Amino acid sequence: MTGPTTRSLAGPTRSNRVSAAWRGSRLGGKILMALTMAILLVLFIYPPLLMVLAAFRRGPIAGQGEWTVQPFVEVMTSPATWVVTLNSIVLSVAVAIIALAAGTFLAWVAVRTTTPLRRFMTPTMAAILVIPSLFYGLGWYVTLNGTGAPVNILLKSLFGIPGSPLGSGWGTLIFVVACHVIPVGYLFMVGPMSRMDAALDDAARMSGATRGSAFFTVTLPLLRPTIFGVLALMTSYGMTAFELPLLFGVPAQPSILVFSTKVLNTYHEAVGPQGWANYAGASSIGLILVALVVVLVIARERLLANRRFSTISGKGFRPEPKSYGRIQGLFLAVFVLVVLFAGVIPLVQMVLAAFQHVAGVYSLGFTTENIEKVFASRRTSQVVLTSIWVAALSGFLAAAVALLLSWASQRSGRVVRVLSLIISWAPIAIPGVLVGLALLTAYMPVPGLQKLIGTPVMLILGFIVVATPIATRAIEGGVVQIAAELEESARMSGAGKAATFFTVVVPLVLPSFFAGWFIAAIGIAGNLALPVLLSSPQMRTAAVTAYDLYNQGHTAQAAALFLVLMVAIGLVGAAAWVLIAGATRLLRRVRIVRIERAITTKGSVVHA
Amino acid sequence: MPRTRQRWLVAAALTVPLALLVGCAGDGAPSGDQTAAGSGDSPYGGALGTPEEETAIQSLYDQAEDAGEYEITAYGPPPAQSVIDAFQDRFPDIEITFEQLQSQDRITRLQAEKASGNYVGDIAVDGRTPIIQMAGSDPSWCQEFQPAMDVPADLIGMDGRTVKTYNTVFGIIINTDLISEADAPKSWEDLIDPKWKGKEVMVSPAAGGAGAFISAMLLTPQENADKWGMKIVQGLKDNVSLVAKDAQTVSSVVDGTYPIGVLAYYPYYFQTLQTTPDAPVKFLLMQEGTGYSVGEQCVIANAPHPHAAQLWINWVVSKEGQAAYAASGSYPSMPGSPGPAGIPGPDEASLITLLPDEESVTGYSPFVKQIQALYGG
Repeated sequence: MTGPTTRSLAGPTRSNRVSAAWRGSRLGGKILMALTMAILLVLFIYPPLLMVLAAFRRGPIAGQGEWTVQPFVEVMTSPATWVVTLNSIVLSVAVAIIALAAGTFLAWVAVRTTTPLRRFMTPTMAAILVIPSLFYGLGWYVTLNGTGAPVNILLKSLFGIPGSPLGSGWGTLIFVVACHVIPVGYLFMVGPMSRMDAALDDAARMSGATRGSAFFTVTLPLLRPTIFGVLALMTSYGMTAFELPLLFGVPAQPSILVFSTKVLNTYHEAVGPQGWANYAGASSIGLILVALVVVLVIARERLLANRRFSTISGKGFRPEPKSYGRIQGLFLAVFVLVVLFAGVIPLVQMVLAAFQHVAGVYSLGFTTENIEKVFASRRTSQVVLTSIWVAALSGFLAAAVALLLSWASQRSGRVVRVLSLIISWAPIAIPGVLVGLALLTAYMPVPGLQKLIGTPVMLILGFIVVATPIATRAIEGGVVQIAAELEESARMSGAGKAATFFTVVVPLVLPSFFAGWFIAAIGIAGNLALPVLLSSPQMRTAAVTAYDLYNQGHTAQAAALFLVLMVAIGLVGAAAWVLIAGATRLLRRVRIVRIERAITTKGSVVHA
Repeated sequence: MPRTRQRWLVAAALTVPLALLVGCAGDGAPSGDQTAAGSGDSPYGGALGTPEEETAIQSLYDQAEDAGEYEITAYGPPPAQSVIDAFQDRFPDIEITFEQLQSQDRITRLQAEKASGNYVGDIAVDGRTPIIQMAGSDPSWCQEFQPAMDVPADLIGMDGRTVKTYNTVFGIIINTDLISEADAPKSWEDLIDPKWKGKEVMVSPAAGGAGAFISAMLLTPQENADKWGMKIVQGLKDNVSLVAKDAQTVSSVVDGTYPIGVLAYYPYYFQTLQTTPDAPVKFLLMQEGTGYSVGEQCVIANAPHPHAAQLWINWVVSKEGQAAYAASGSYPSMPGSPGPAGIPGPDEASLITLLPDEESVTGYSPFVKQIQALYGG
């Protein structure tokens, strides 16, 4: 080559063909995004993927050993597998429909009506959520079972019905589980509902629609992203529920066994001459859950594809409540009933249990010994404090990851969108009773991660992975509702991407973010599957300690410990609420001052 | 042969405690002080054992302190708090913490510790089968036990790696306000009598646990199957109402919901009586074939606190440790240790025959599965 060729001359032109997105700071952003996605993929995708692979390998630990399809065939050809799967699907669907309907209705009452006490609905629902599911279940158990159970005394004295006719069975099981998740449904829905512009309903009314039809044809369809997210989440909850079906399904005649019980039984089977755990069999059953989650996610994507759900737009935005007249008394009655069933009745029973010699046995009298033992234990303060800070931190981080995933999935290209979707759903596909095992065995061979096993970092990491799908469901609906033009306006006014995110997106999605943080933190505080396997004895949580006490037959003492934990969470929650409310007021004042200053000095708010 | 040895072992573990139990006045609760008399030269005044044994234990304690081993992490179900307190009182510089990691979860955790090099677990505590499985793995998850106490050879298994520490029984609990002891069922055959239908409560075997495991013992080994077998298993299923947890069997008999509790776990009954001595309940062993669980422990290979861990197991089989276990409702395994108060004596106890140690690792599994399936699990 002695002179310039066409190719060499074309060089600079060619370099110009590299799109702006792949140059300079944008390239840095893309590399950062790719790195983040890679880390998230390892953390979120590898554990469920390992569980899938583990279905076809038999060895001393999950995902190791020789390849075989035998466990898969055994599980899939066992009629018991399909009986428990059907039971779980029936439970899931029934619970999801009831909890979503009641939760959505109450969220609407809280946001769109002037029903008395509506301002107390959100804090009340949040407070109810603090009740751990195990002790919520035990509260109902002693309400419905035994000669001293209040319901049975009532049934016997009023109708002469003996025994515990409502102690177990399908009706009781669905009722108890549904009541437990109604507050979750409410908290998921209230954020997006409160960010909806009432003008949309008004427009429907002005076009001749009744209030009812406006609700069903405008409000509900606009909430579809959240509704489908919650529906899928609750369905997976039904598939992973363990303690409540154990309390109200197993004693039924015939027993109602669910998916989780089968997974756990299979896992504990000794196989082969070495007596290995049947990881392959348990994982094979888990594949049913994987398939179900995939179907739900695909269905959700198809139903939501190519539709816009933005309800937060410009100046006209006003989520104002209206009076619906005397029927609001009925709305209030529904709220009171939900609070009674989901909170007060089981809570009162649990408080009583904490002061009983034998939990639920009134005939043996009451004592303060359980509370005294809890306070006398030198570990109590440590486990309660650990529970609170780990739950608060992990919940916040999970909510932050959820917000970023939801936002990235809305505003990025197809690849990032698909990856975000997979990351935010994948951990749900792991059966709840195996989630600790899945994470541990997945992270074991990963350099860097393996060194964290047994440290607080690993526990927090595990909680983030487990809680992010839940937080995402709470937050994504809020993100979807933010119209892109709001961000575009900020960008056109000179704000950078980060500034736009923090000054436009975050403030608008804050109610959903707080709901996601709170729900994730509460779930983490009550989580039993992860701490035992992932943490060290020094990171023991109150939930695990109480569960151990319960398993050792010290139910009353366990109730006392849970009571202490709930009071501590309540105090910390109240303090946090006061702080957040104060900070919000302060920020609002600062913003107003800045706007006023901008107007007086520059005559415009553009640069404020 | 091994089955015979097993029966002999259990008989030895139960008979001697009874003799001492009979000799104890009043509540029969064991006390370390009672055994300490006349051992003035021993480091612990004879509370733990002979002077030689106590010297050996003192040496272990010193070694643990010299090595800076001030904590022990045990993987398995914890004993009663009173047992832990008794150990802490004796060795105040060493704190023991229990993590309720059992069976497969414990092995997974140990695998993770091995992979990370971040060893935490010192001791494995569980039923016989999972501990034997751990000790028998290749490489073994257990290290050799260093006896400071004079532990009978029959209590040490798997090439010196495992130690049998106590036994717990599952029997019948009755509400004495609703049924007299004379009328109560006392054998497996009695329990399947149709007249008790709806009056018996039992923990569901569908979700595994003791319900499934003790029921499986009726089906294996063959001599049990010949005596009881599916006839009893099916008869029980037809008669009993189910609860989800062992503790609910006891509480639902205590509150009078059911007059009879089947496969009642003795420590739960014992706990109830500790808090409410007037509860109208009585615990009965089966006339023949009482189900029971053998508690076993081992020091985990690569334990970060090996001396302290050895100290713990030696203390458990000491007079004081065995007395502490007895005071929480378990039968000590060491010959000569007093048994728990209030339980029918071992001469009345005809315990069910168990599979030999090695065979138990896989031998019960198919029967447990069969039982679970019967109950819909």
